Amino acid sequence: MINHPVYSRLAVDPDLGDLVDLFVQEMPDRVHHLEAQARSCDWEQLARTAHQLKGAAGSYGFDDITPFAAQLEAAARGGRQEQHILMALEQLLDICRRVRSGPAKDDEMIHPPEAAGTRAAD
Amino acid sequence: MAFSPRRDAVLAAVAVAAITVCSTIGLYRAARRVYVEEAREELLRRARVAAAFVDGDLHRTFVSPAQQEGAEYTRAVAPLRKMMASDPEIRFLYTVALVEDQPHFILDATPPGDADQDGVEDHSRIMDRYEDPDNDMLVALREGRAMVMREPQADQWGEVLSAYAPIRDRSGNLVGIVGVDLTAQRYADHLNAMRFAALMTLLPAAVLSILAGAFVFIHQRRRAEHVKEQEEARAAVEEALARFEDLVDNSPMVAVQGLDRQGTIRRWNRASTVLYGYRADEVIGQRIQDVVLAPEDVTAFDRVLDEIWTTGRPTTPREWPVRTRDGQVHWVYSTIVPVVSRGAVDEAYCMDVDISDRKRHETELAAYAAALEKSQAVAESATRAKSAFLASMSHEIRTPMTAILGFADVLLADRNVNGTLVEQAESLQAIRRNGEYLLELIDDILDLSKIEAEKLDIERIAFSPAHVLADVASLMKVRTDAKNLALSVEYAGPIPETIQSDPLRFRQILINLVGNAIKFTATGSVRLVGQVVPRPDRFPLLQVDVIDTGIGLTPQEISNLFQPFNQADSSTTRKYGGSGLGLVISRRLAAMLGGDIAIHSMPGQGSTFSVTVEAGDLAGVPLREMPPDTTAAAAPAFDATTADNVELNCRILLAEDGPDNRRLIAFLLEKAGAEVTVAENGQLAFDAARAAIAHGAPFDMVLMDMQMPVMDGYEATRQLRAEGYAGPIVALTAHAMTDDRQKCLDAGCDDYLTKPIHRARMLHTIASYLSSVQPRPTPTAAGCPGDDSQTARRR
Repeated sequence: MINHPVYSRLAVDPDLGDLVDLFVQEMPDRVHHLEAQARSCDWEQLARTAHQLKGAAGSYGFDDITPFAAQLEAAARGGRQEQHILMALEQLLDICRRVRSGPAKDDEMIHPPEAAGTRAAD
Repeated sequence: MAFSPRRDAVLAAVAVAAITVCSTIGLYRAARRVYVEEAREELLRRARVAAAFVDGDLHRTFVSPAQQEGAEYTRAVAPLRKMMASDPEIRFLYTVALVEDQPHFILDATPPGDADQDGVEDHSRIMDRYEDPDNDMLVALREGRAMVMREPQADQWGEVLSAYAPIRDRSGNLVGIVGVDLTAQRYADHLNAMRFAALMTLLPAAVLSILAGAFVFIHQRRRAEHVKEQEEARAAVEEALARFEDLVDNSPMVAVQGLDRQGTIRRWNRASTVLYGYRADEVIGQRIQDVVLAPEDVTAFDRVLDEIWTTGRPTTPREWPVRTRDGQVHWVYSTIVPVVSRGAVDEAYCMDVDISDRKRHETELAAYAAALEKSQAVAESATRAKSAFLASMSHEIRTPMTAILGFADVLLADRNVNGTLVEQAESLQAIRRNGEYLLELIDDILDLSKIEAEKLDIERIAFSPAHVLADVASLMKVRTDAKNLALSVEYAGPIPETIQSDPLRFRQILINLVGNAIKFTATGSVRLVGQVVPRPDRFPLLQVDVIDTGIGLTPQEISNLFQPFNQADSSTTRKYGGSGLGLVISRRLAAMLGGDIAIHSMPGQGSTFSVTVEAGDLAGVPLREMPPDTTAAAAPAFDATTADNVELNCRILLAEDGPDNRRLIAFLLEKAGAEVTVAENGQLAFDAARAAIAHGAPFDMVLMDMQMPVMDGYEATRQLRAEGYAGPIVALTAHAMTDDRQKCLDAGCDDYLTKPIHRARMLHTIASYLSSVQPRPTPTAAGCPGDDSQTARRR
């Protein structure tokens, strides 16, 4: 599991830095929207939001978000497997909550304690 | 022949009567003849004696009736008178001589008078004419022979029998004859007595005849009764035999064959024909072993036959497989019964009942029983497997739960002892990670239980398999990048544009297989190779091989792989994690999609997991040759430094519903010098473009997102083209496939851009459609790190 802060590769772009910052600042709102749509079981809207996020995140330099958004979009469009959708949503929200402004800092990588159980990072 | 005792009796009686009457008559006639002959001899002898007493010379002297009274006459007639007196049977005694060739009396010994009272004088005188002489007299007179009458003669003096003897003189000359007439009375009486005696013999003959008839009648009647009884008995036997033959021939159930000592067929009833298909005339004379038995059964049959000839007893019924004419195998329940005839056993009847149906039912029953047993065993095995599953499941769930609770305790304790923020974060991460694992596990269990309960719905819709593969590759690329593995998608041969299956399930299977491949591969690559596998008489399969360069599997490990909670071994579990449910689920899903998952692997040499799903009817679906590595090819490298060289002096309409991208794209375009008008959906974009046209200032370029609410990009593009907009329209799409590009071009777009937006590529593409664009020199390009260098550092 990806368990470290997520930075945009475009954060250092002199033209786009501010836009990336804005994108990061608005992230809690997006998370809120996604959660609200999931709570109301509005899968169609959820899929649409995920679709937009899929296209936008990469554009803002957050490439790691794209596959998770794509996964949620696919799950939500199926419309049946609620467990799948919620799991995909949770994975997407997890990475979304970890987006940070500014360039990446290597020393911030956090490694989990191995004592936690049978499962390695997957 | 018809018996008639009455007729036979009459015949017998008549025959006896005829024989006795004939013999009696014969006897009577013979006796009568002898008697008549004797009487005639006697008479003739008397006539000769009388002739000897007559003196011929003297006799000649009597020529006149005057001499009647003379002494001469008296002397001459005296012997005759004496003779007559001594013999009462003599009626007349006289002599006759021929005078002028007429017979005339000469001497007569008969006394005068009428002794017989017939009114005529008995005594004749010399020279009296003899009236009506008989023939014998005339012959005696003329030829001098002694004659006697054959039969008595009736004349006027009654019935007499006469004899004549010649009279000669001394010289021997014939002078006349002596006639003796005997009264025939005694003679007739004698004959009458004889006749009476003969008649009397006929009386017992008649009785004898009646007796014989009665005897014959009784005898014949008894014989007729006997014959009738015999005929009745024979008819009864014949009727019984006919009934038996009828029973044998027409018995619909029992096929009967008559056999001799070698098994040669002598009889073949109708049921045999029905059962075996051969007509009687085709098989009679052949050995039954050769006709109906399989070669391997002949020895056993011969043994049974031998037993019959030895014991003379019917065989114990048993079942035989037999071949019919058309080659089918039937089962018969058969017994062979010997026939004892005149103390010897030389033929036998084989009786078969066709039990093929029963046999088949038995076989089916046995199969059912076996299947039942098997399904019971399977059910028990499944029950055991479920118990084992629950046991390991509870273990699997307890482990992360323990960790969650443990770290929660740590956090609670930390709050008391004011643990550092980093330590608290680590505990929270551990709780989260374990919680996620639990969720995934529960998700898998739900999936599996739905599959087990057959409650999982499977769709069959048309979708692009290449899309799904590209999607999966794009999704999993993060993980291969993280482990520095190469990930590629290839195709062995052309791929159908669409297949009929369940895209979500197909994707789920691929994600699981690729995830596993990545998990167990430390270095090297993971390749997805797609191909179509045609099948005879069935829909083709779509096969995807997931080929890794990982640790590989032993055959034992492969066989355990699809058992829930059977990872290669417990050390593998510790090292790589995972419940192993994913593979089980994937295989079940593949089976539900009409395919399977096959594994080829050797330890240390990597693994190939091949998933197949039924592709459905591909008739009419176009096949596409796919370039390898579509995902990789979709992002050609651009020199980031060139992005700033683009200047756009134009008016662009941006149709994009996502606010983030809208903002970003608008910013990038404006920064490049363009004047941007934004629209949130296709309808608004169309309205804006049409308004611009109406004002005589159409947009130089339209950037059109394809997936938008209200009206999508395809429709908006079509309508714009229909409205007469001739400027470039560039599509924005989240998909990377070539057929998406085609779809965009079909709708009227000039080109397409994929999302995420790549700044330099976007600007260059737009610039290429605007003839007025000129690259501008950028002094800052060297000092500013580009996108690619940034990405490289992150990886």
